[in-house]
Amino acid sequence: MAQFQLSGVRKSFDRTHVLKGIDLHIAEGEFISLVGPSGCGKSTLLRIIAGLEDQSEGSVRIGGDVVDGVRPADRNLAMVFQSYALYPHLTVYNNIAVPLRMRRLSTLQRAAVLRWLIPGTRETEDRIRSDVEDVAKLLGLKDLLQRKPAQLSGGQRQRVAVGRAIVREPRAFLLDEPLSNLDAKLRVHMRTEIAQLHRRLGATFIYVTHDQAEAMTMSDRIAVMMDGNIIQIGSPDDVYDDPQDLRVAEFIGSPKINILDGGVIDEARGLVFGSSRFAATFLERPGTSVRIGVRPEALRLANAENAPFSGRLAHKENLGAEVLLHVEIPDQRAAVIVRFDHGGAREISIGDAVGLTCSPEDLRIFGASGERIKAEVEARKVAHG
Amino acid sequence: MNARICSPWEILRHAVLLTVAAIVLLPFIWMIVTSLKPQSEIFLSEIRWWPEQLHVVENYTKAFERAPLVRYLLNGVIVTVLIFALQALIALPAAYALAKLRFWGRDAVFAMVLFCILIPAQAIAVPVFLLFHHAGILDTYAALIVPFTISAFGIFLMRQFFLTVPDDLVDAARMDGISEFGIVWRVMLPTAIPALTAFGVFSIVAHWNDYFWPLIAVNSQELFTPPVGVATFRNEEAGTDYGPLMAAATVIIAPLIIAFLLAQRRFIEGITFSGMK
Repeated sequence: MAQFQLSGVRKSFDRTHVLKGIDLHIAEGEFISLVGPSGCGKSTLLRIIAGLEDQSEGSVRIGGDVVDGVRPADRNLAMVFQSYALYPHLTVYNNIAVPLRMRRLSTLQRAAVLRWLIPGTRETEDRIRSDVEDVAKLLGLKDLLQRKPAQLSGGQRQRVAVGRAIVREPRAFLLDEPLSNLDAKLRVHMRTEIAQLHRRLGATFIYVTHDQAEAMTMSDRIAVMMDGNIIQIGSPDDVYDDPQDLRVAEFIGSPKINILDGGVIDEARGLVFGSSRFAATFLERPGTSVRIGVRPEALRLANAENAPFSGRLAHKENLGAEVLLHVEIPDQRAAVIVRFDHGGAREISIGDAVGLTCSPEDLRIFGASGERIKAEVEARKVAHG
Repeated sequence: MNARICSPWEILRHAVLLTVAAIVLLPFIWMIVTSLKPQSEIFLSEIRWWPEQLHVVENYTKAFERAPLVRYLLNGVIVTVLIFALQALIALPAAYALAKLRFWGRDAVFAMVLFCILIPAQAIAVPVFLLFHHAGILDTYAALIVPFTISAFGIFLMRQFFLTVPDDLVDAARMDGISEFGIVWRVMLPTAIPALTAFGVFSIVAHWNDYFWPLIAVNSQELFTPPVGVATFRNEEAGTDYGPLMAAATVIIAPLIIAFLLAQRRFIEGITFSGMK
């Protein structure tokens, strides 16, 4: 078990800056996700923590020790790779046993034939066997131990990769998009398994993914990365409800948050959109034009005549448990998506005029460069809290 | 099997392939047939595909009596096996470094390796000969083996194969605590068996059949490799005795054919085995 402290970590390849100064503290036993679009530097950051890549600047501490320049194996971390990276020529048993053999046996004891002549080899191999079998039992791999990776399904390989990681009881687990090679159904299932594994082991998990749903469902905290920076870090609820940046708001949540152009802050610090006004107090100079973000589930139907947002229903998606309406509002780039529970909005059909409204506290207002503009209510809440 | 109607194009294709195969195989078949014939049947004005009088025992015993063929074969095995083993020993780590490690000047080094492939053995034969003369290792096994231990082609071939091995596998091995050399032998080598087998076929065939360098490098008959041995055999005494000569030629080619058949089986294993990931 260990905590991690990253300070000022930068990484450049030639003239491209992949990481631009990452400061991050990860508590002991925490499940943290690094999430962001591809190319944001999240995998590079994980590889730096693992020791597979050297940072250009900054330092990494694990459990209080600076580990810069320490070999990956000596950091005592385990990693699960996207491609699983199982040794194709070894059986499942041997794949899981490799990290134990490398740690517990000397070079001579690993040599091909003579190894059994060296005292202690058999005892150590016996202990390795019992450890591997324990892990196999935990992950339901008992019947597969003599198979080669090529004879396993994707989900089974995934389990072997996890088994190889947990068998040596490392200080922390690093997972690099471990679910992206699985089909959708298995992915949802493995999500649960990994979260349960985390609870059972109580170890620190650092999980890299581009899938916000994985990050939301499993993590204690989420670090959203964009262009080599962590732009927001917090619990899944924080990141979802209180995005500090337009990019975070757009990245987290599915369906995506609706972004409407054309809002203006008026003299009384309220928000004006078209002919409607939301009476909240926003901490921004009057006359600033803003972008309005509102989550699909925060919108309600209203009379099309005087609703703040009105348009026509362009498309309706029935997902069973929920219904998504795509409403086209004039002068907006994308259709606004509204989410209803099962059976909602049955009476509306394609082409109908639809009015939409929401309460002022559900509005997330962003400035021209994407920074969040807070309402006074929230600011006060923060001050008091 | 279904009866199939062959299109004219298919017939043409097969005709061309059969012709080419015949051109390649005929001398070979002629060698074997000649090795079965008595002297009287070898020089006939007609083409006789099968001898009326089989002279197998006579020709093959003569071949083994007149020259130490077994010795030549043994030399061939020693030389080709050692060459291949040393080539693998050097090419695998070199290829790993060129494919998977990042270091300053890697591309330049690789370019030099490619450049080395272009140098013909004949071009450097004289300098190597002089070098070995000064080192005093001419006319030894070392003279036959050392010039070929570093195979630029082998490094190139293995590097191309290693490029296809996922980086994750190397990183996983590093996380598990395997050293860089350990990765070469315990991770890369087992995955590279098909490529190494292919390289082995090239290497062994080339050095088993090599006539040029052994002819220069050794003088003592007990160091002769099979092709050199068979050639002297002809010059010295059997200039007109083609039956035993062809028998000797057949004998020295046999190990290659057997080795190839064995490797072919390995090839197929290798292909099913690399269906990993």
